[in-house]
Amino acid sequence: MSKILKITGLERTYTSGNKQLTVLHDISFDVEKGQTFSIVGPSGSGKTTLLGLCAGLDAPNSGSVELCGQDLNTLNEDQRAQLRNKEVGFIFQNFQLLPTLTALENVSVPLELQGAKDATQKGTELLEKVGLKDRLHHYPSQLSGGEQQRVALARAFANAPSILFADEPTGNLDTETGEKVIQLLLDLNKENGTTLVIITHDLELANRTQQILRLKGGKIVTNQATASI
Amino acid sequence: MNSKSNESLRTPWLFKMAWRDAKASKVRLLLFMASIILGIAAVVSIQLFSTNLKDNIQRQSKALMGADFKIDSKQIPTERAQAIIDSLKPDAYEVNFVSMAVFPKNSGTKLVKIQGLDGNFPFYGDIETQPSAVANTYQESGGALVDATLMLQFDINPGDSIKIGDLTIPIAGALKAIPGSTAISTSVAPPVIIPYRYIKATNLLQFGSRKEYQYYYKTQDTVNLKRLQDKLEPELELENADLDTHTSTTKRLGSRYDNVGKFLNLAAFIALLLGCIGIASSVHIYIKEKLKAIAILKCMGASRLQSFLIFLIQIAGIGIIGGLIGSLIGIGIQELFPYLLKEFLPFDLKLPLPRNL
Repeated sequence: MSKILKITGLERTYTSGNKQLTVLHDISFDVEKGQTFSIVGPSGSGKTTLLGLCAGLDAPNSGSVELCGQDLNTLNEDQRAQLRNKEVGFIFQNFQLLPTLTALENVSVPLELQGAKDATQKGTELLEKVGLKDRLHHYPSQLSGGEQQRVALARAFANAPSILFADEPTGNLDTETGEKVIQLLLDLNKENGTTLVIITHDLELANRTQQILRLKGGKIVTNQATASI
Repeated sequence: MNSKSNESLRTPWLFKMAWRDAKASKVRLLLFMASIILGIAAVVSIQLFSTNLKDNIQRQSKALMGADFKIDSKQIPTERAQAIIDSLKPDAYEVNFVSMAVFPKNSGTKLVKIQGLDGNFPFYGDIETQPSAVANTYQESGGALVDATLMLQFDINPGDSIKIGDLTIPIAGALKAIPGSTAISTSVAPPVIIPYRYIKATNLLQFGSRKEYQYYYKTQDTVNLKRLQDKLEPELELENADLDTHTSTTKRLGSRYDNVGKFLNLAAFIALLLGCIGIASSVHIYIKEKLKAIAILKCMGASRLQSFLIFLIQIAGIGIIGGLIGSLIGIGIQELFPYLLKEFLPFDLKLPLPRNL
Protein backbone atom coordinates (compact mmCIF):
# COMPACT_ATOMS: atom_id res chain seq x y z
CA MET A 1 0.00 0.00 0.00
CA SER A 2 1.24 3.51 -0.77
CA LYS A 3 1.74 6.07 1.93
CA ILE A 4 -0.58 9.05 1.92
CA LEU A 5 1.03 10.76 4.92
CA LYS A 6 4.70 10.47 5.83
CA ILE A 7 5.97 12.29 8.90
CA THR A 8 9.71 12.40 9.51
CA GLY A 9 11.54 13.85 12.54
CA LEU A 10 8.88 16.44 13.22
CA GLU A 11 9.56 19.01 15.92
CA ARG A 12 7.47 22.00 16.96
CA THR A 13 8.56 24.59 19.48
CA TYR A 14 6.65 27.66 20.64
CA THR A 15 8.40 30.69 22.07
CA SER A 16 6.74 32.61 24.87
CA GLY A 17 8.84 35.52 26.08
CA ASN A 18 12.26 34.04 26.83
CA LYS A 19 10.89 30.55 27.33
CA GLN A 20 10.82 27.90 24.65
CA LEU A 21 8.23 25.17 24.84
CA THR A 22 8.75 22.10 22.69
CA VAL A 23 5.35 20.58 22.04
CA LEU A 24 6.43 17.80 19.67
CA HIS A 25 9.76 15.92 19.79
CA ASP A 26 11.09 13.92 16.87
CA ILE A 27 7.79 12.52 15.60
CA SER A 28 7.93 10.07 12.72
CA PHE A 29 5.18 7.81 11.39
CA ASP A 30 3.39 6.87 8.17
CA VAL A 31 -0.27 6.51 7.25
CA GLU A 32 -1.24 4.15 4.48
CA LYS A 33 -3.75 5.14 1.82
CA GLY A 34 -7.32 4.14 2.79
CA GLN A 35 -6.24 3.32 6.36
CA THR A 36 -8.15 4.37 9.48
CA PHE A 37 -5.63 5.84 11.90
CA SER A 38 -6.13 7.27 15.35
CA ILE A 39 -3.91 9.49 17.45
CA VAL A 40 -4.60 9.21 21.19
CA GLY A 41 -3.07 10.78 24.23
CA PRO A 42 -3.87 12.92 27.27
CA SER A 43 -4.63 16.64 27.02
CA GLY A 44 -1.53 18.67 26.22
CA SER A 45 0.25 15.75 24.58
CA GLY A 46 0.43 17.63 21.26
CA LYS A 47 -2.31 15.80 19.31
CA THR A 48 -3.99 18.89 17.81
CA THR A 49 -0.60 20.51 17.07
CA LEU A 50 0.37 17.34 15.20
CA LEU A 51 -2.87 17.42 13.21
CA GLY A 52 -2.25 21.08 12.27
CA LEU A 53 1.22 20.16 11.01
CA CYS A 54 -0.03 17.08 9.12
CA ALA A 55 -2.60 19.20 7.29
CA GLY A 56 -0.19 22.04 6.54
CA LEU A 57 -2.07 24.50 8.74
CA ASP A 58 1.12 25.10 10.72
CA ALA A 59 4.82 24.75 9.84
CA PRO A 60 7.28 22.62 11.87
CA ASN A 61 10.58 23.89 13.28
CA SER A 62 12.27 20.85 11.87
CA GLY A 63 11.34 17.63 10.13
CA SER A 64 9.12 17.08 7.13
CA VAL A 65 5.53 16.27 6.28
CA GLU A 66 4.76 14.54 3.01
CA LEU A 67 1.03 14.69 2.25
CA CYS A 68 -0.38 13.00 -0.84
CA GLY A 69 3.14 12.80 -2.24
CA GLN A 70 3.89 16.51 -1.71
CA ASP A 71 6.52 17.77 0.73
CA LEU A 72 4.69 20.56 2.58
CA ASN A 73 7.99 22.32 3.37
CA THR A 74 8.37 23.09 -0.35
CA LEU A 75 4.90 24.62 -0.69
CA ASN A 76 3.88 28.15 0.25
CA GLU A 77 0.73 28.94 2.25
CA ASP A 78 -1.53 29.29 -0.77
CA GLN A 79 -0.19 26.11 -2.40
CA ARG A 80 -0.84 24.26 0.85
CA ALA A 81 -4.39 25.69 0.88
CA GLN A 82 -4.87 24.47 -2.69
CA LEU A 83 -3.65 21.00 -1.71
CA ARG A 84 -6.08 20.96 1.23
CA ASN A 85 -8.92 21.95 -1.10
CA LYS A 86 -8.16 19.03 -3.42
CA GLU A 87 -7.07 16.29 -1.04
CA VAL A 88 -8.00 17.07 2.57
CA GLY A 89 -11.19 17.10 4.64
CA PHE A 90 -11.55 18.35 8.22
CA ILE A 91 -13.88 17.65 11.10
CA PHE A 92 -13.44 19.59 14.33
CA GLN A 93 -14.64 19.04 17.88
CA ASN A 94 -16.61 22.28 17.85
CA PHE A 95 -17.85 21.78 14.27
CA GLN A 96 -16.34 25.04 12.89
CA LEU A 97 -19.17 25.79 10.49
CA LEU A 98 -19.33 29.25 8.99
CA PRO A 99 -22.06 30.84 11.13
CA THR A 100 -23.23 33.25 8.42
CA LEU A 101 -23.82 30.47 5.87
CA THR A 102 -26.68 27.97 5.73
CA ALA A 103 -26.04 24.22 6.01
CA LEU A 104 -26.16 23.85 2.24
CA GLU A 105 -23.86 26.85 1.66
CA ASN A 106 -21.37 25.47 4.22
CA VAL A 107 -21.25 22.14 2.40
CA SER A 108 -21.03 23.82 -1.02
CA VAL A 109 -18.00 26.02 -0.18
CA PRO A 110 -15.24 23.38 -0.79
CA LEU A 111 -16.92 22.45 -4.07
CA GLU A 112 -17.28 26.08 -5.12
CA LEU A 113 -13.61 26.63 -4.33
CA GLN A 114 -12.83 23.83 -6.77
CA GLY A 115 -15.02 25.54 -9.35
CA ALA A 116 -17.65 22.76 -9.40
CA LYS A 117 -20.69 23.90 -11.38
CA ASP A 118 -23.09 21.53 -9.59
CA ALA A 119 -21.96 22.48 -6.07
CA THR A 120 -25.50 23.08 -4.82
CA GLN A 121 -26.79 19.79 -6.19
CA LYS A 122 -23.84 17.83 -4.75
CA GLY A 123 -24.19 19.67 -1.43
CA THR A 124 -27.88 18.77 -1.29
CA GLU A 125 -27.08 15.10 -1.98
CA LEU A 126 -24.43 15.02 0.76
CA LEU A 127 -26.79 16.59 3.28
CA GLU A 128 -29.46 14.08 2.30
CA LYS A 129 -26.90 11.32 2.92
CA VAL A 130 -26.28 12.54 6.47
CA GLY A 131 -30.03 12.83 7.07
CA LEU A 132 -30.36 16.61 6.91
CA LYS A 133 -32.58 16.91 3.84
CA ASP A 134 -34.99 19.23 5.63
CA ARG A 135 -32.27 21.39 7.18
CA LEU A 136 -30.67 22.65 3.97
CA HIS A 137 -31.42 26.32 4.54
CA HIS A 138 -30.94 26.39 8.29
CA TYR A 139 -28.10 28.41 9.79
CA PRO A 140 -25.72 26.62 12.22
CA SER A 141 -27.32 28.47 15.15
CA GLN A 142 -30.64 26.87 14.18
CA LEU A 143 -29.19 23.33 14.33
CA SER A 144 -28.44 20.99 17.26
CA GLY A 145 -24.86 19.91 18.02
CA GLY A 146 -25.38 16.53 16.33
CA GLU A 147 -26.88 18.17 13.27
CA GLN A 148 -24.02 20.67 13.08
CA GLN A 149 -21.47 17.82 13.23
CA ARG A 150 -23.33 16.01 10.46
CA VAL A 151 -23.18 19.18 8.33
CA ALA A 152 -19.43 19.30 9.09
CA LEU A 153 -19.20 15.65 8.03
CA ALA A 154 -21.00 16.35 4.75
CA ARG A 155 -18.69 19.33 4.18
CA ALA A 156 -15.59 17.24 4.93
CA PHE A 157 -16.57 14.69 2.27
CA ALA A 158 -17.81 17.29 -0.22
CA ASN A 159 -14.49 17.57 -2.11
CA ALA A 160 -14.05 13.74 -2.10
CA PRO A 161 -10.83 14.05 -0.09
CA SER A 162 -8.03 11.51 -0.15
CA ILE A 163 -7.48 11.99 3.57
CA LEU A 164 -9.78 13.24 6.32
CA PHE A 165 -8.54 14.66 9.62
CA ALA A 166 -11.04 14.50 12.49
CA ASP A 167 -10.11 16.29 15.71
CA GLU A 168 -12.22 14.89 18.59
CA PRO A 169 -15.26 14.53 16.31
CA THR A 170 -17.52 13.37 19.16
CA GLY A 171 -16.05 15.56 21.89
CA ASN A 172 -19.04 17.92 22.02
CA LEU A 173 -21.75 15.31 21.45
CA ASP A 174 -23.68 13.00 23.75
CA THR A 175 -22.87 9.27 23.52
CA GLU A 176 -25.80 8.36 21.31
CA THR A 177 -25.30 11.21 18.83
CA GLY A 178 -21.55 10.66 18.94
CA GLU A 179 -22.01 7.02 17.99
CA LYS A 180 -24.25 7.98 15.06
CA VAL A 181 -21.68 10.47 13.81
CA ILE A 182 -18.83 7.95 14.11
CA GLN A 183 -20.82 5.31 12.27
CA LEU A 184 -21.54 7.83 9.53
CA LEU A 185 -17.85 8.77 9.40
CA LEU A 186 -16.75 5.15 9.07
CA ASP A 187 -19.44 4.38 6.51
CA LEU A 188 -18.44 7.34 4.37
CA ASN A 189 -14.80 6.30 4.75
CA LYS A 190 -15.62 2.80 3.50
CA GLU A 191 -17.80 4.09 0.70
CA ASN A 192 -15.24 6.59 -0.61
CA GLY A 193 -12.01 4.86 0.40
CA THR A 194 -10.89 7.97 2.23
CA THR A 195 -7.98 7.71 4.64
CA LEU A 196 -9.18 8.60 8.11
CA VAL A 197 -6.96 10.20 10.77
CA ILE A 198 -8.87 10.63 14.04
CA ILE A 199 -7.62 12.43 17.11
CA THR A 200 -9.48 11.24 20.17
CA HIS A 201 -9.49 10.64 23.90
CA ASP A 202 -11.97 7.85 23.37
CA LEU A 203 -10.08 4.54 23.35
CA GLU A 204 -13.19 2.68 22.27
CA LEU A 205 -13.32 4.82 19.14
CA ALA A 206 -9.57 4.43 18.63
CA ASN A 207 -9.94 0.65 18.79
CA ARG A 208 -12.30 0.80 15.81
CA THR A 209 -9.48 2.16 13.65
CA GLN A 210 -6.71 0.05 12.10
CA GLN A 211 -3.74 1.81 13.68
CA ILE A 212 -3.28 3.71 16.96
CA LEU A 213 -0.52 6.21 17.65
CA ARG A 214 -0.10 7.09 21.35
CA LEU A 215 1.39 10.43 22.26
CA LYS A 216 2.56 11.63 25.66
CA GLY A 217 4.40 14.84 26.42
CA GLY A 218 4.93 15.47 22.72
CA LYS A 219 6.63 12.11 22.12
CA ILE A 220 5.39 8.92 20.50
CA VAL A 221 4.82 6.22 23.11
CA THR A 222 3.56 3.48 20.77
CA ASN A 223 2.44 3.17 17.16
CA GLN A 224 0.67 -0.16 16.75
CA ALA A 225 -1.88 -1.84 14.54
CA THR A 226 -5.15 -2.41 16.44
CA ALA A 227 -5.14 -6.08 15.57
CA SER A 228 -1.84 -6.55 17.38
CA ILE A 229 -3.03 -4.84 20.60
CA MET B 1 -3.49 36.02 -17.91
CA ASN B 2 -6.50 37.86 -16.50
CA SER B 3 -8.91 35.02 -17.07
CA LYS B 4 -6.36 32.66 -15.50
CA SER B 5 -6.02 34.81 -12.38
CA ASN B 6 -9.81 35.23 -12.35
CA GLU B 7 -10.16 31.49 -12.43
CA SER B 8 -7.69 30.93 -9.60
CA LEU B 9 -9.30 33.71 -7.56
CA ARG B 10 -12.82 32.57 -8.51
CA THR B 11 -14.05 36.16 -8.61
CA PRO B 12 -17.78 35.37 -8.94
CA TRP B 13 -17.47 33.08 -5.93
CA LEU B 14 -15.83 35.90 -3.94
CA PHE B 15 -18.84 38.14 -4.65
CA LYS B 16 -21.20 35.28 -3.81
CA MET B 17 -19.47 34.71 -0.47
CA ALA B 18 -19.38 38.44 0.29
CA TRP B 19 -23.13 38.62 -0.38
CA ARG B 20 -23.90 35.49 1.68
CA ASP B 21 -21.93 36.79 4.63
CA ALA B 22 -23.38 40.30 4.29
CA LYS B 23 -26.94 38.91 4.34
CA ALA B 24 -26.30 37.36 7.74
CA SER B 25 -24.68 40.55 9.13
CA LYS B 26 -27.08 42.99 7.47
CA VAL B 27 -28.10 44.98 10.56
CA ARG B 28 -24.49 45.70 11.42
CA LEU B 29 -23.53 46.50 7.85
CA LEU B 30 -26.58 48.75 7.43
CA LEU B 31 -25.45 50.65 10.49
CA PHE B 32 -22.02 51.21 8.91
CA MET B 33 -23.75 52.26 5.72
CA ALA B 34 -26.02 54.70 7.55
CA SER B 35 -22.97 56.49 8.97
CA ILE B 36 -21.43 56.73 5.50
CA ILE B 37 -24.72 57.96 4.02
CA LEU B 38 -25.08 60.70 6.64
CA GLY B 39 -21.49 61.91 6.26
CA ILE B 40 -21.54 61.91 2.46
CA ALA B 41 -24.98 63.54 2.33
CA ALA B 42 -23.74 66.38 4.57
CA VAL B 43 -20.60 66.98 2.51
CA VAL B 44 -22.38 66.71 -0.86
CA SER B 45 -25.27 68.97 0.10
CA ILE B 46 -23.02 71.68 1.55
CA GLN B 47 -20.54 71.45 -1.31
CA LEU B 48 -23.30 71.65 -3.92
CA PHE B 49 -25.06 74.46 -2.14
CA SER B 50 -21.83 76.49 -1.86
CA THR B 51 -21.13 75.99 -5.55
CA ASN B 52 -24.66 77.00 -6.49
CA LEU B 53 -24.49 80.00 -4.20
CA LYS B 54 -21.29 81.21 -5.86
CA ASP B 55 -22.78 80.60 -9.33
CA ASN B 56 -25.92 82.55 -8.39
CA ILE B 57 -23.96 85.46 -6.95
CA GLN B 58 -21.87 85.57 -10.11
CA ARG B 59 -24.91 85.35 -12.39
CA GLN B 60 -26.97 87.90 -10.51
CA SER B 61 -24.15 90.33 -9.77
CA LYS B 62 -25.80 93.25 -11.57
CA ALA B 63 -29.19 92.56 -10.04
CA LEU B 64 -27.58 92.49 -6.61
CA MET B 65 -26.45 96.09 -7.00
CA GLY B 66 -29.21 97.12 -9.36
CA ALA B 67 -26.65 99.06 -11.42
CA ASP B 68 -23.27 98.64 -13.13
CA PHE B 69 -21.53 100.79 -10.60
CA LYS B 70 -22.26 103.40 -7.96
CA ILE B 71 -20.52 106.22 -6.18
CA ASP B 72 -21.45 106.80 -2.57
CA SER B 73 -20.56 109.32 0.03
CA LYS B 74 -21.51 109.70 3.69
CA GLN B 75 -21.74 113.47 3.29
CA ILE B 76 -22.90 115.94 0.65
CA PRO B 77 -20.31 115.32 -2.08
CA THR B 78 -17.47 117.84 -2.14
CA GLU B 79 -17.12 120.08 -5.16
CA ARG B 80 -14.46 117.84 -6.71
CA ALA B 81 -16.44 114.63 -5.98
CA GLN B 82 -19.60 116.22 -7.38
CA ALA B 83 -17.70 117.18 -10.54
CA ILE B 84 -16.61 113.57 -11.03
CA ILE B 85 -20.13 112.29 -10.27
CA ASP B 86 -21.69 114.74 -12.73
CA SER B 87 -19.11 114.07 -15.43
CA LEU B 88 -20.12 110.41 -15.40
CA LYS B 89 -23.83 111.42 -15.72
CA PRO B 90 -25.63 109.35 -13.06
CA ASP B 91 -28.78 107.53 -14.22
CA ALA B 92 -30.30 107.54 -10.74
CA TYR B 93 -29.44 108.71 -7.27
CA GLU B 94 -30.67 108.42 -3.75
CA VAL B 95 -30.09 109.68 -0.28
CA ASN B 96 -30.81 107.35 2.58
CA PHE B 97 -30.91 107.81 6.33
CA VAL B 98 -32.49 106.24 9.36
CA SER B 99 -35.35 108.06 11.05
CA MET B 100 -38.55 107.53 13.02
CA ALA B 101 -41.74 107.33 11.00
CA VAL B 102 -45.32 107.71 12.20
CA PHE B 103 -48.44 106.10 10.84
CA PRO B 104 -51.19 108.68 11.50
CA LYS B 105 -53.88 106.01 11.11
CA ASN B 106 -53.01 104.43 14.44
CA SER B 107 -50.18 106.68 15.69
CA GLY B 108 -47.76 103.75 15.36
CA THR B 109 -44.09 104.70 15.27
CA LYS B 110 -41.13 102.80 13.98
CA LEU B 111 -37.47 103.33 13.17
CA VAL B 112 -37.17 103.06 9.38
CA LYS B 113 -34.59 103.53 6.69
CA ILE B 114 -35.75 106.29 4.34
CA GLN B 115 -34.55 106.02 0.77
CA GLY B 116 -35.19 109.13 -1.28
CA LEU B 117 -34.85 107.88 -4.84
CA ASP B 118 -34.73 109.64 -8.18
CA GLY B 119 -34.43 107.96 -11.56
CA ASN B 120 -35.31 104.62 -12.93
CA PHE B 121 -33.44 102.58 -10.31
CA PRO B 122 -32.89 99.58 -10.29
CA PHE B 123 -31.59 99.11 -13.83
CA TYR B 124 -31.24 95.36 -13.23
CA GLY B 125 -33.62 93.30 -11.15
CA ASP B 126 -36.91 94.65 -9.90
CA ILE B 127 -38.44 96.38 -6.95
CA GLU B 128 -41.20 93.98 -5.94
CA THR B 129 -44.30 95.68 -4.64
CA GLN B 130 -47.91 94.95 -3.83
CA PRO B 131 -49.74 96.00 -6.00
CA SER B 132 -46.99 95.23 -8.49
CA ALA B 133 -47.67 98.22 -10.77
CA VAL B 134 -46.81 100.84 -8.12
CA ALA B 135 -43.08 100.05 -8.43
CA ASN B 136 -43.20 101.94 -11.73
CA THR B 137 -45.67 104.67 -10.78
CA TYR B 138 -44.77 105.79 -7.22
CA GLN B 139 -42.28 108.39 -8.53
CA GLU B 140 -44.92 110.19 -10.61
CA SER B 141 -47.82 109.64 -8.23
CA GLY B 142 -45.72 110.88 -5.29
CA GLY B 143 -46.38 107.99 -2.94
CA ALA B 144 -44.21 106.00 -0.55
CA LEU B 145 -43.31 102.32 -0.77
CA VAL B 146 -43.31 100.89 2.74
CA ASP B 147 -41.81 97.56 3.81
CA ALA B 148 -44.51 94.88 3.54
CA THR B 149 -43.78 93.34 6.96
CA LEU B 150 -43.93 96.75 8.57
CA MET B 151 -47.34 97.42 6.97
CA LEU B 152 -48.61 94.10 8.24
CA GLN B 153 -47.24 94.81 11.69
CA PHE B 154 -49.01 98.18 11.93
CA ASP B 155 -52.11 97.12 10.00
CA ILE B 156 -51.44 99.70 7.30
CA ASN B 157 -52.86 99.47 3.78
CA PRO B 158 -52.04 101.22 0.50
CA GLY B 159 -53.80 104.58 0.57
CA ASP B 160 -53.03 105.21 4.26
CA SER B 161 -50.36 107.79 4.95
CA ILE B 162 -46.93 107.87 6.56
CA LYS B 163 -45.35 110.84 8.31
CA ILE B 164 -41.60 111.30 7.98
CA GLY B 165 -40.32 114.39 9.71
CA ASP B 166 -42.56 117.25 8.52
CA LEU B 167 -43.69 115.32 5.45
CA THR B 168 -46.90 113.31 5.31
CA ILE B 169 -47.42 111.34 2.10
CA PRO B 170 -49.74 108.59 1.00
CA ILE B 171 -48.53 105.01 0.90
CA ALA B 172 -48.56 103.78 -2.72
CA GLY B 173 -47.88 100.14 -1.98
CA ALA B 174 -46.10 97.50 0.05
CA LEU B 175 -42.41 96.96 -0.62
CA LYS B 176 -41.67 93.25 -0.82
CA ALA B 177 -38.10 93.18 -2.09
CA ILE B 178 -35.42 95.46 -3.44
CA PRO B 179 -32.19 94.28 -5.10
CA GLY B 180 -29.38 93.45 -2.71
CA SER B 181 -31.28 93.42 0.58
CA THR B 182 -32.35 90.53 2.80
CA ALA B 183 -35.26 90.21 5.20
CA ILE B 184 -32.74 89.91 8.03
CA SER B 185 -30.78 93.02 7.03
CA THR B 186 -33.98 95.11 6.87
CA SER B 187 -35.49 93.83 10.11
CA VAL B 188 -33.90 96.54 12.33
CA ALA B 189 -34.82 99.49 10.11
CA PRO B 190 -37.32 98.43 7.45
CA PRO B 191 -37.00 100.39 4.18
CA VAL B 192 -39.37 103.14 3.10
CA ILE B 193 -38.83 104.49 -0.42
CA ILE B 194 -40.04 107.95 -1.31
CA PRO B 195 -39.36 110.15 -4.35
CA TYR B 196 -36.17 112.17 -3.87
CA ARG B 197 -37.99 115.45 -4.44
CA TYR B 198 -39.79 115.08 -1.10
CA ILE B 199 -36.64 114.70 0.99
CA LYS B 200 -36.25 118.44 1.54
CA ALA B 201 -39.83 118.67 2.81
CA THR B 202 -39.06 116.20 5.61
CA ASN B 203 -36.66 118.73 7.15
CA LEU B 204 -34.69 115.80 8.55
CA LEU B 205 -31.45 116.29 6.68
CA GLN B 206 -29.53 118.92 8.53
CA PHE B 207 -25.94 119.60 9.40
CA GLY B 208 -24.52 116.55 11.17
CA SER B 209 -27.29 114.13 10.07
CA ARG B 210 -26.19 110.56 9.40
CA LYS B 211 -26.96 110.00 5.76
CA GLU B 212 -25.60 108.44 2.62
CA TYR B 213 -25.69 109.69 -0.94
CA GLN B 214 -25.59 107.12 -3.68
CA TYR B 215 -25.29 107.74 -7.43
CA TYR B 216 -26.14 104.84 -9.72
CA TYR B 217 -24.78 104.31 -13.21
CA LYS B 218 -25.72 102.10 -16.09
CA THR B 219 -22.99 101.56 -18.69
CA GLN B 220 -22.42 99.74 -21.94
CA ASP B 221 -21.06 96.22 -21.60
CA THR B 222 -17.89 97.38 -23.35
CA VAL B 223 -16.91 99.73 -20.51
CA ASN B 224 -13.97 98.39 -18.51
CA LEU B 225 -15.27 98.85 -14.98
CA LYS B 226 -12.06 97.64 -13.38
CA ARG B 227 -10.04 100.34 -15.14
CA LEU B 228 -12.65 102.95 -14.26
CA GLN B 229 -12.52 101.92 -10.63
CA ASP B 230 -8.71 101.86 -10.55
CA LYS B 231 -8.60 105.34 -12.04
CA LEU B 232 -11.33 107.08 -10.05
CA GLU B 233 -11.24 105.36 -6.70
CA PRO B 234 -8.05 107.03 -5.38
CA GLU B 235 -9.39 110.44 -6.34
CA LEU B 236 -12.82 109.78 -4.82
CA GLU B 237 -11.30 108.45 -1.64
CA LEU B 238 -9.52 111.75 -1.15
CA GLU B 239 -12.96 113.38 -1.29
CA ASN B 240 -14.49 110.88 1.21
CA ALA B 241 -16.41 109.13 -1.53
CA ASP B 242 -16.26 105.60 -2.82
CA LEU B 243 -16.80 103.84 -6.13
CA ASP B 244 -18.15 100.27 -6.16
CA THR B 245 -18.72 98.18 -9.28
CA HIS B 246 -21.18 95.32 -9.41
CA THR B 247 -18.28 92.87 -9.70
CA SER B 248 -16.42 94.17 -6.66
CA THR B 249 -19.61 94.15 -4.62
CA THR B 250 -20.48 90.59 -5.58
CA LYS B 251 -16.88 89.56 -4.99
CA ARG B 252 -17.18 90.90 -1.44
CA LEU B 253 -20.54 89.23 -0.99
CA GLY B 254 -19.24 86.05 -2.62
CA SER B 255 -16.25 85.85 -0.33
CA ARG B 256 -18.53 86.38 2.69
CA TYR B 257 -20.74 83.45 1.64
CA ASP B 258 -17.66 81.56 0.54
CA ASN B 259 -16.32 81.82 4.09
CA VAL B 260 -19.62 80.50 5.45
CA GLY B 261 -19.47 77.74 2.83
CA LYS B 262 -15.89 76.90 3.80
CA PHE B 263 -16.84 76.72 7.46
CA LEU B 264 -19.82 74.46 6.75
CA ASN B 265 -17.65 72.32 4.48
CA LEU B 266 -15.07 72.00 7.20
CA ALA B 267 -17.76 71.07 9.74
CA ALA B 268 -19.19 68.47 7.34
CA PHE B 269 -15.73 67.14 6.55
CA ILE B 270 -14.88 66.82 10.24
CA ALA B 271 -18.20 65.01 10.78
CA LEU B 272 -17.34 62.68 7.89
CA LEU B 273 -13.79 62.18 9.19
CA LEU B 274 -15.00 61.35 12.70
CA GLY B 275 -17.64 59.09 11.17
CA CYS B 276 -14.93 57.37 9.13
CA ILE B 277 -12.76 56.84 12.20
CA GLY B 278 -15.79 55.33 13.94
CA ILE B 279 -16.55 53.16 10.92
CA ALA B 280 -12.88 52.12 10.61
CA SER B 281 -12.76 50.97 14.22
CA SER B 282 -16.12 49.17 13.82
CA VAL B 283 -14.84 47.50 10.65
CA HIS B 284 -11.66 46.53 12.52
CA ILE B 285 -13.75 44.82 15.21
CA TYR B 286 -15.98 43.30 12.51
CA ILE B 287 -12.96 41.82 10.67
CA LYS B 288 -11.45 40.61 13.96
CA GLU B 289 -14.65 38.69 14.57
CA LYS B 290 -14.30 37.21 11.09
CA LEU B 291 -10.83 35.78 11.79
CA LYS B 292 -12.36 32.44 12.79
CA ALA B 293 -14.35 32.33 9.54
CA ILE B 294 -11.14 33.19 7.62
CA ALA B 295 -9.34 30.29 9.39
CA ILE B 296 -12.17 27.90 8.44
CA LEU B 297 -12.04 29.11 4.83
CA LYS B 298 -8.29 28.52 4.79
CA CYS B 299 -8.82 24.97 6.11
CA MET B 300 -11.16 24.38 3.21
CA GLY B 301 -8.58 25.64 0.76
CA ALA B 302 -9.27 29.38 0.29
CA SER B 303 -6.09 31.40 -0.29
CA ARG B 304 -5.12 34.38 1.84
CA LEU B 305 -6.04 36.74 -0.98
CA GLN B 306 -9.46 35.12 -1.46
CA SER B 307 -10.25 35.38 2.27
CA PHE B 308 -9.13 39.01 2.29
CA LEU B 309 -11.07 39.88 -0.88
CA ILE B 310 -14.37 38.48 0.43
CA PHE B 311 -14.43 41.04 3.22
CA LEU B 312 -12.86 43.80 1.13
CA ILE B 313 -15.69 43.40 -1.39
CA GLN B 314 -18.19 43.66 1.44
CA ILE B 315 -16.69 46.82 2.91
CA ALA B 316 -16.08 48.39 -0.51
CA GLY B 317 -19.66 47.55 -1.50
CA ILE B 318 -20.97 49.27 1.60
CA GLY B 319 -18.77 52.28 0.87
CA ILE B 320 -19.88 52.56 -2.75
CA ILE B 321 -23.59 52.02 -2.08
CA GLY B 322 -23.44 54.30 0.98
CA GLY B 323 -21.62 56.94 -1.07
CA LEU B 324 -24.17 56.78 -3.88
CA ILE B 325 -27.18 56.95 -1.57
CA GLY B 326 -25.46 59.71 0.45
CA SER B 327 -24.81 61.70 -2.73
CA LEU B 328 -28.43 61.36 -3.86
CA ILE B 329 -29.70 62.41 -0.43
CA GLY B 330 -27.18 65.28 -0.44
CA ILE B 331 -28.54 66.49 -3.79
CA GLY B 332 -32.05 66.24 -2.35
CA ILE B 333 -31.17 68.10 0.84
CA GLN B 334 -29.54 71.04 -1.00
CA GLU B 335 -32.90 71.61 -2.70
CA LEU B 336 -34.23 72.49 0.76
CA PHE B 337 -31.55 75.09 1.52
CA PRO B 338 -33.10 77.88 -0.57
CA TYR B 339 -36.31 77.57 1.47
CA LEU B 340 -34.47 77.38 4.78
CA LEU B 341 -32.13 80.28 4.00
CA LYS B 342 -34.50 82.44 1.97
CA GLU B 343 -34.53 85.19 4.59
CA PHE B 344 -30.74 85.36 4.73
CA LEU B 345 -30.04 85.63 1.01
CA PRO B 346 -30.25 88.91 -0.94
CA PHE B 347 -31.21 87.14 -4.19
CA ASP B 348 -33.36 84.31 -5.53
CA LEU B 349 -31.39 81.10 -5.41
CA LYS B 350 -31.86 78.91 -8.43
CA LEU B 351 -30.45 75.40 -8.20
CA PRO B 352 -29.39 73.80 -11.43
CA LEU B 353 -26.80 71.04 -10.87
CA PRO B 354 -23.39 72.64 -11.26
CA ARG B 355 -21.60 71.62 -14.43
CA ASN B 356 -18.56 70.43 -12.52
CA LEU B 357 -20.53 67.88 -10.47
